[in-house]
Amino acid sequence: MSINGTTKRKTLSQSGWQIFRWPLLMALANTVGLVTALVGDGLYDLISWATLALTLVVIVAAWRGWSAR
Amino acid sequence: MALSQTGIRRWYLVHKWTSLICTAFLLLLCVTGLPLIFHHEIEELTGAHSSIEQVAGGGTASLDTMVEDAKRRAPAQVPGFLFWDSEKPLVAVVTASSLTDQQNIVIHYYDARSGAHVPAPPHDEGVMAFLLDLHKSLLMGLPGTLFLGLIGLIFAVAVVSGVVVYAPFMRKLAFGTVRKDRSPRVRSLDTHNMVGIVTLGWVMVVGLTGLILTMATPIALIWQIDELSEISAPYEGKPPPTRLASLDTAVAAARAAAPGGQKLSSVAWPGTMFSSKHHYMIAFSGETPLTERLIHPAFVDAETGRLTEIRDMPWYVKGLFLSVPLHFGDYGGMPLKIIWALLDIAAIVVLWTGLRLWFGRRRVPIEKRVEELRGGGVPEPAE
Repeated sequence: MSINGTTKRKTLSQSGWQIFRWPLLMALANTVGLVTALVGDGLYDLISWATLALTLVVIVAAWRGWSAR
Repeated sequence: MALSQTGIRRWYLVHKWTSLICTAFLLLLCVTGLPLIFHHEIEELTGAHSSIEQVAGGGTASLDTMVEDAKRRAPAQVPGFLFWDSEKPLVAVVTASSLTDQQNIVIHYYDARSGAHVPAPPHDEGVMAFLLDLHKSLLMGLPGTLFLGLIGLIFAVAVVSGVVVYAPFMRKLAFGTVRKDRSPRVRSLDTHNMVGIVTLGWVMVVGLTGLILTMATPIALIWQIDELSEISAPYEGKPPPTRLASLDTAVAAARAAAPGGQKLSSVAWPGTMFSSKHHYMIAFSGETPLTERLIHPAFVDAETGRLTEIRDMPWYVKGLFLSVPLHFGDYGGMPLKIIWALLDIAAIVVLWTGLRLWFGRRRVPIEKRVEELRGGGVPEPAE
């Protein structure tokens, strides 16, 4: 069994903070979105839609391969 | 953050087994939950709500007359609850075969302005009622609900262990990487990790609120022991009232004591799960999506029609009430419901890719899979 590709990436090793900073930011956006719609209507709803829809945008962008290159 | 190889292996096995136990149930919950997000719209097309026009100002028809009418329509039953619709001038009187029975119930709708009976299809028929029953109890009542609570707990472990094994896997990969030019297995794995980590916050909230909702009955029992017994303590030794005071009088007494800006939400008859044997429980709620869920119960002596007390709900009941919107996503208009549905589909993708990884397991020995995590997800499986 060959382990192709290890050599060129071996140098890169991320810390816990580097791995989790984006997921943490996403979770924070999720939380803001879930809470704001509960607190009020109008502008609050808009903030909620924007922050929660961001999750969907990130999924689509990542799947289409933003980090492919 | 650095885990030893044995540590990673352990967490990996925890993630695998807890996921395997709950995946089938979670797929069922995600699929049945999808139409339930839009239950209001779907019921609007079929139920009583469509035949009533929205009129500002609300109604003042006699509640006693509505209750008498409901009793006539269901002679073998007793009234237990009454609800005011939050958007339309509609009152629902719920009768059941006994005060504590929650199964054989009939819901009678009335126009809150005229008091006229509004015909509606039975609540427990149709696809939506079936889906809700399947979603909340697997069609098995309270034991089914509590079982789903257990599944929720196992799911929480699966999510946490998933986050733990995410770290060694991503050590050499950028956030959001999906390698589609490799094998289908790598593609599934990357998709599983990316969608899983991005939807983590939402999944945790929907999962935990779902877990709280499975404990609705135990929570209500705690409230009975904790608070209702306090309210009925002065009535110790007195028999329950045989003739009940007028509901209109009781509601007027409660309304006079309710804080400003509060609207009527529901009534629970004496002897039901949500009141003492001696009181009508008359609930008020606020106007925002938040305060609308946080009801204030007023207890009115069911014999005299005089207010005994109006109080706040304890934190655990508030938590239960707030779990409803946070679980169903029905509190921020249609855009939120659509986002909720898409996030639900994202959760299905995570479950599905996870399942595919498991089905494809035989081609890849466990040492290789652990190595895959430890080495930063770079090695490719042999095809």
